[in-house]
Amino acid sequence: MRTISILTHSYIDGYNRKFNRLFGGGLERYIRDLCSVIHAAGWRPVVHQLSYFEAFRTEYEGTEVIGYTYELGKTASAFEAMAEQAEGLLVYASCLWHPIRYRPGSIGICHGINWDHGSIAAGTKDGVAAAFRGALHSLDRVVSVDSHFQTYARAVCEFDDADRIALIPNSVDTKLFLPKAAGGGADGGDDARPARRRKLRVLVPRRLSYERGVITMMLAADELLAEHPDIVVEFAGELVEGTNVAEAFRLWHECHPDGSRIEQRAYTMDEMHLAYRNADIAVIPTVFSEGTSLACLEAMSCGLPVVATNVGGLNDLVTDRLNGLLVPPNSAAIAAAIRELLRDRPLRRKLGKLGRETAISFDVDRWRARWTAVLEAQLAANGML
Amino acid sequence: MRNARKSSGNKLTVMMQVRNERGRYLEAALAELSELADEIVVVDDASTDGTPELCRSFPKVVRLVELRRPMFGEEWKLRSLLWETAVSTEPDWLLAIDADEFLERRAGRQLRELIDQDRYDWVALRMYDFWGSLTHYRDDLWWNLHRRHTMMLVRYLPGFHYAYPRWDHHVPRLPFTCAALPGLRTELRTKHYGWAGSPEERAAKYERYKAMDPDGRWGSIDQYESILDPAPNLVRWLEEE
Amino acid sequence: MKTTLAQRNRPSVIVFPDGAWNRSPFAALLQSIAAKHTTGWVTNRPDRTLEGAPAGVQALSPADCDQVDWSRTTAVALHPYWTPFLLPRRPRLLGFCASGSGQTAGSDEHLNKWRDRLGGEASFVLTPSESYYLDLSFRRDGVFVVDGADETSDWFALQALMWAADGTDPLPLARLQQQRREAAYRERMASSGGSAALSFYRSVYLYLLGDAAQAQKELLNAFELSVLGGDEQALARVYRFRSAIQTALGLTAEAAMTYETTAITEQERANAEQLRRRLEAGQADIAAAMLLRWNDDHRGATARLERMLQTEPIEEGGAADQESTAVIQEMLIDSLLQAGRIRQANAKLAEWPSFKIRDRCEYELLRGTACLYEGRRLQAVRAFLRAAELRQEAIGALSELAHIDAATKRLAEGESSHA
Repeated sequence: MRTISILTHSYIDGYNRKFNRLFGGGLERYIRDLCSVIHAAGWRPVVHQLSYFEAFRTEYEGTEVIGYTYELGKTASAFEAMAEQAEGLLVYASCLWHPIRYRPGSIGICHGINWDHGSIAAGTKDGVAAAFRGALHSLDRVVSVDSHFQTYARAVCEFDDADRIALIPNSVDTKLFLPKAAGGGADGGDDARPARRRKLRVLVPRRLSYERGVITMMLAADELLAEHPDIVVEFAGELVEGTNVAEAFRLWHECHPDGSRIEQRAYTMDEMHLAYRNADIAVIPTVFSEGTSLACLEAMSCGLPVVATNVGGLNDLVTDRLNGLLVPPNSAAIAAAIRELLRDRPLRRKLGKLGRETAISFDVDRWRARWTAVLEAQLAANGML
Repeated sequence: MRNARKSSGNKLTVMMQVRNERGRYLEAALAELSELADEIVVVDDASTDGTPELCRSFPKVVRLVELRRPMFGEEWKLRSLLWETAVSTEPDWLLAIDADEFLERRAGRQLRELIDQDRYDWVALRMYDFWGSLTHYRDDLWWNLHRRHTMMLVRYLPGFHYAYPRWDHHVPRLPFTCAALPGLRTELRTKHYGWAGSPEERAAKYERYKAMDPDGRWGSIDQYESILDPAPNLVRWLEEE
Repeated sequence: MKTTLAQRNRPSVIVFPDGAWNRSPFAALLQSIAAKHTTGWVTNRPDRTLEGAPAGVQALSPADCDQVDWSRTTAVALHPYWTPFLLPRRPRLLGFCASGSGQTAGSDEHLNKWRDRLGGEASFVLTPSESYYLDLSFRRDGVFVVDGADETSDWFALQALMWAADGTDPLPLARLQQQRREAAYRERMASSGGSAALSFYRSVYLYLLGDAAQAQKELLNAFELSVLGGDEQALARVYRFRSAIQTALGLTAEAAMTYETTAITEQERANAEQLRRRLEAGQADIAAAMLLRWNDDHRGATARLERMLQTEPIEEGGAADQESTAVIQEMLIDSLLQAGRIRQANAKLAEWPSFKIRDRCEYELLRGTACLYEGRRLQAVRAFLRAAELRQEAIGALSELAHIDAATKRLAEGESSHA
């Protein structure tokens, strides 16, 4: 059986030593989905990851997972050490911004650009560019989850093979994230409850952090809550206690005169689709660091009209005024876009409908097919098929 | 408003106090200093041997104060007078040197370079006490001035608080408050010929010190006694190029 | 004067504590106040914090503070974190008993900042640290020290509190205390023979009292002694102060020369160059304000700069006039901030529509703090959010507020910040 080894810095929850579950982030979900693709193709996935504490060997959903100890700060050599032990086709699933010596005939994955902020030092950016040049030079293929990294790589790196970068945008399970029952989205259909009396819900489906735009959203919410006594703003994401953001949010919430119309709740992955179901508008106010936003895809898949910022992979998903509203990442612009949607029900319907169609073209089955093709091609090229 | 510190075109003025130096090294000193400096200011402490006339014969001597009664017993007054006279000529830099002191050739050549900058305000050199000849200097327990630095050049900063300690003897040649300003200690050397003469001359000096300061209030008695040391440690001088 | 029962029971002075009564460095003073005035003490735990306090001291909870008629009550804060709670209530007088510079900073990064803030906004400040007392006296009036160095000096500090408890601004007493302390230094120097430190301190007091001529003499004496003592920092730490004294004497050109003499670092040299240019352009008053500021005399600088703005025509004049007005305004704002006078700085900015704000983020933080002082918490939070939107680090201002809220609750429970 062909073996495909996935190298990553995180999969099973090594941070909290919970060896029977995954760390709950986007990267870990991605790898899990990738393992499923590999299994389905009849190949054998093995995950090699770094362990915060001791080395370990376990199994998760039929996939062998091996944890390696490593020295903090020596990520590149840790990946090189894992590669030595790994069999078959290697997929470097994270840390491509480190100067790793890659094994020939391997694939890498870049999950998006997270250094796209004016305040990040030029020296840091230069270091990242150098690392990616190395990656593009040594890896046979780099899978990019958004067009932004693709553009960046083309603009910064040298390579002679146009196929070196494969764009496989993130996906959404359009059978799970469904719009409200036929007869309309969240804002129409049910005449027994006139829309006027029910409060409109504005949903922000992201973990609350600076780069995901929580500050901008708080300022936008301030304006809107004052103007519209009939709306509720829900921050549907994790708020990590003890952080600056958590303190700021609580302070704001507690002294806000409209605090009862501000909600904050963390949903599990399984419950999340309910949040979309109950909402009328979704806002993705990212300031920087965004690959193909899963939250945006999910919202669109649920037929919600989205207001997104023109950052990173969001530009791949939303075309302004066609399938969503696309605005620069500042509170005034976001507030203005939400305001327009609140007042314009037909626009909400149109954007929601086209949003759903957009999501379908990002359906998870397409993602699975693309990945299978990429892996197959590489196995063939390596003479492993 | 002019800059307090000029890095070029500095006027260098010599300040010297003299007493009965004619017949010793004064003529040679003034001749050499006339080459090195722009102006010379002299205070004559009631000489009786025609020293003032010799000074006046050098055109670069722009000020000559002739005291009627000697002031060397209240040295701080003498120092202050010399200082005040020198600064009244609006110098940029001052070289405080005695009639029996000579800069080594290398120091003379580097003088302008040392003062034409705006980073430091004084320069200290190593002073060597020549003993009994012009070829050897003394280096032993009581005679090791050259192991320290002696401030000889200062930039004149108008308005700065210059002060001398009110002592009668062994008053430093420059105001002690100069030390607060940034300065440079160099390895350049000065030759002091005060003790370079005959044993009789040295014995006479010894007598003068003992008379002036019998209890060792201003200087060390042991050092005074060491003047008569019959076998001082002498080192041959090598002029650097 | 006959008082009604209600009046008799109403405290005329309310203390906002830092830990227990009998552990406070100001316990003796508070004792004397409580003997003469009905005194309140804000706490949720009187059992914990009022042990050893005089019987008449009334415990009030923070909630009770809402029932107090603050226009007729004096507040005394023993800890700077009470600031957001206290300032909006506008007590008739607000005294700050500050324990001194940097001692208790420890792991609390915000403490010094808020100590400086309350130090700027309080009606008067009392401290047991002479160095903090002098530092603050260069920023504002109405500062008192109680350090046990001299009985009469300490008595003035006590009187200041007494006056304040009565509702009278103790400002005039500050100068009297300064005079007494200067005299005490003179006496010490006469009996002990003097030293660089004594001369320097005496010179500082003379400067504060306005006797610049004598201050200069004493300073030069201090300078000589420190050079003789081998102090390598004599030029910057002692002599440079002469430039402030000369400015006070109206000798701006000489002061600039003195400053230039002491200019060693690149920044100092650049400053000296600025002074020269201003003097050449005939702007001696601007040069004078700069000299005071570089000597940390923000009290003197703000007085001058405010006068300059009153006499300068703001709207007329060409580019040069506008440039100098802008410079004066900038210096005034900065000196007000250095003195902790945030409300005033903010008010000035509101008055000058054409003022170019260099750093919007700092501006929003300033506005937010001013709102906090007025009790407009939501506006403060919004301003801080706007600042954070501009620069990520500014989010710290909100954490800071949360930190102070938590600390205030602990203070009300009788805890002390002094570990």
